[in-house]
Amino acid sequence: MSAPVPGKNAEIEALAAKEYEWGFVTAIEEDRIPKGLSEAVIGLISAKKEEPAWLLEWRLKAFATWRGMKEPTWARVRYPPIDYQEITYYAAPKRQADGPRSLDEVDPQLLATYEKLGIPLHEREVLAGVAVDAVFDSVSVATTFKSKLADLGIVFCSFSEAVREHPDLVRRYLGTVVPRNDNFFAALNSAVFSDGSFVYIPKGVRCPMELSTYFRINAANTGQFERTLIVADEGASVSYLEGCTAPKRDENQLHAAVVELVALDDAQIKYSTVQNWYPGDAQGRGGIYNFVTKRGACRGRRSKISWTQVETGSAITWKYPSCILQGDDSIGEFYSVALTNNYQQADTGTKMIHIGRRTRSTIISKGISAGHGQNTYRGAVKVLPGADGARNYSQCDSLLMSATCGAHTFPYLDVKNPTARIEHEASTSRIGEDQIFYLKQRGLGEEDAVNLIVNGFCKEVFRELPMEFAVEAQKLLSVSLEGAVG
Amino acid sequence: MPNLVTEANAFLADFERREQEEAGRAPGWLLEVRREAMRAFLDQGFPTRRDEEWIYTDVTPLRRHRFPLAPRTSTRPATLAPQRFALGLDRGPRLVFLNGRFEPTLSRTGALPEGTELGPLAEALTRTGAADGPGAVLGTLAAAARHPFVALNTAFLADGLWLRLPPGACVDDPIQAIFLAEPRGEPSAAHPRLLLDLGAGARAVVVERYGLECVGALGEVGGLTNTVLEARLGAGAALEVVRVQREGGAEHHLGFTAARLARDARFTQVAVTLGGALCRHETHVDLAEPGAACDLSGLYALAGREHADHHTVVRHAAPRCTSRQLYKGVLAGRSIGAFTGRVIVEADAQQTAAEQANHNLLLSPEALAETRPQLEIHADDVKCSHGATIGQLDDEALFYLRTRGLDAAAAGHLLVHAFADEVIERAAEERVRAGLAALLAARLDLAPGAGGRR
Repeated sequence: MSAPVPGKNAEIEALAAKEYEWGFVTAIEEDRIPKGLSEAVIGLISAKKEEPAWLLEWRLKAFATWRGMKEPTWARVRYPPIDYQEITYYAAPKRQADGPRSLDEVDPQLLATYEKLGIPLHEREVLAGVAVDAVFDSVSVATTFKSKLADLGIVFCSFSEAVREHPDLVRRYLGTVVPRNDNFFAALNSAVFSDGSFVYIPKGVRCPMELSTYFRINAANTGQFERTLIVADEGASVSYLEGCTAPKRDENQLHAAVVELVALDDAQIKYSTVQNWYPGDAQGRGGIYNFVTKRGACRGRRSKISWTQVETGSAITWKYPSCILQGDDSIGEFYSVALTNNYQQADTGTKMIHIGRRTRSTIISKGISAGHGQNTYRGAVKVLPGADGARNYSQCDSLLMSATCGAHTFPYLDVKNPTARIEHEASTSRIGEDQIFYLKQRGLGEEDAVNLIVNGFCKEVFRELPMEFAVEAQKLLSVSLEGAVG
Repeated sequence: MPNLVTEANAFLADFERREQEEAGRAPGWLLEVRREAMRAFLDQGFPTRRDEEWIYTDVTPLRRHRFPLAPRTSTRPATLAPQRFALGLDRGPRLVFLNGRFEPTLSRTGALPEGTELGPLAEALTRTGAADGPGAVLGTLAAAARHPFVALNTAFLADGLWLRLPPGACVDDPIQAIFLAEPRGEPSAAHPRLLLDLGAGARAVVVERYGLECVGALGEVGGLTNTVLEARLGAGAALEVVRVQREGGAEHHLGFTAARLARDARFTQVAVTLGGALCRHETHVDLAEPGAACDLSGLYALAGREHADHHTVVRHAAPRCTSRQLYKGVLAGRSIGAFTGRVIVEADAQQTAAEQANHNLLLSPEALAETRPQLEIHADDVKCSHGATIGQLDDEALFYLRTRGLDAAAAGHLLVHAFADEVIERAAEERVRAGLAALLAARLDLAPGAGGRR
């Protein structure tokens, strides 16, 4: 962005000042490495993070693969070409002192949104980037959680910490679900990933809390190339929530994260995402490109992986949380609400690969398009020859809220076993005028009526979210659809 | 990877040879259309499975062999009996083509409404210019520049069906167009073209039949039938196309059907695919004006190592159009049945109703069903739905039938027939339905595994 010419235009200056107030600050020069991507830059990232040699080698191999790959073009999204040499691939975590010192310094509009979403007060401060030492009690909350988890043998830490403290675990599972040559963005992530989370739940342990609660407070500054690895050992179970309903300030336009889940015998992983990154303005300028590779492997018998996502943010969303149902009797689930308003584009869905016997999968996808939004469901169900008795049910519904938006459904079903039963249903329609009329004559305003209908439309997905997030997600939809009706 | 250009050049040599042979006989504008199409084919080359539209169909067999135009034959096999391919239709117009060429001795047209033009395309093309008669329809709906095999068909355009109905004309009996491949030694190709032009309010039923008439021994590699049908429907016109494909054996079949519908026109297609080594049929319907409606249904019953791929693209370009699609597959042996259906609703096409369904029955452990029902919607006042299922015969239904005294095989047959019947029922003409049912019965009884697995 070019700096405004100093002078008469008071409005521009006010705007510029406001942005500073938000805390869009550049990190101090010493903490950055030069723009662009090369083996030297990867070496530097690895060195700064004090990584072992095997990981550096892994990154370099991924980089070599990435260089030979082409950016995929099959998704139904449009964006100007990305210059990968113009991106800075490493920035040290921002210094807290540069952020606003208290909520009084934070943009009131942002605060109003937090208010609407009903976010707890101390969390608002963290989300708005208020320096942590100014936030009362959040640190102690985190510390309490951490000791409780450690007592059970649960490993839950940043990815860098895991590389240092638990190298064997990381090495055993890293890249086994999403190989480093999987796709263009996964390869890029493998080469330059910044940080992320690592979770290991030991045999037979049920994680006593939603890891979300802790995560929400600690998730700041994981960077634009996030890497998450969650392993649930035999009989273990965990529920994990990524992201949050609150709009988060972020200065990186390109996000290419990789999430890998591994569930062994009888293990269960529930992974919920609420994504509300900057979607660009009403004219479609700016906004985050969210190109994510998420995949879970049900390695063990009777294991279960469940993905739930509420996608309302980002200018472009390109993600397909998938399940490889390898173990006999394993279960994969995908519940999704994707909302596109203004000029947002979403191409999202899932892939269920049935390998083991009697594997089951459920896909429930709800797409909502408003404004000029383009919303695409793209999903694949594959049943391999050995998957006797495999069962899949898919339902993809789209709700249209304007004459200028688009809703598209592209399912792929490939079945190589005659004992499999696969069902796919999709419907597209707009909110019925008679429904709105009915609610209005019961005394609801038009906007409330639409919110009620939209939330009813998404109910099957919200039911899968941890309770407190389900409540926030409902409010989030209302906020995201503001002005889309009438 | 073999060189695409070289392979496409095999067709070029044949193209040039034919051009010399026919020098002076075809009108100049037609030669130019063919040349342009040949260039378009060479530009596009053969599609590969990396191409999203071709991921379920591998056309490598077509690249591996040469498919020169079938030689002109002066004799026809004495045993050839077109009645066998007539679906039990004993009256009405019938045009028979052997290896892509019109066979007058087996054909008849009979009495037709005044002003109707019905006959072999080759003849009609020499009579008319680029802008009238068949020339006015040719290439307007199936563009050579956008599809390699349409380009190939156009480049080798020789004969086919030409039908023009003046406004209000109505042909009562189904018009049969029977295309028979009669292999003689080396594999060869036929590129039939069907051009249909229905004036406002005109009505017709066209039975499009593809089969194999085998006299000598069959070669290991089958021939290629690469056919294109273009139908233009005026306001309020109604056209039903019943398409039966049964070359079977080692034959390759590529079909492309395109229809454009004016206001309140109605297009119905019942496509029955009964096998071949490689079959692909695309249907592109353009609902161009308000109130147009189309009903596409298809049935593919495959066995052995047969492969059939059906594509539909229905474009809703105007308000208040409706489309309905029902495709069903019965897959035995090691067969592969694929379906890709796309419904596009453009921004202006408010009050669209579109439904699409694809159901597959897998009768053997090695059969494979692939399906991609797709919706692309840019309007908001629409009702669109699609559904797809892949499964096997219902255990409870089988059990029920067995409690009523049927053995396992008979129970299986009954259920498969009931499953397939829904498609056949969509044909309006009763005689056609009976003919299709008989054809299907013969086919399904051959398909091993129907109900016999339990």
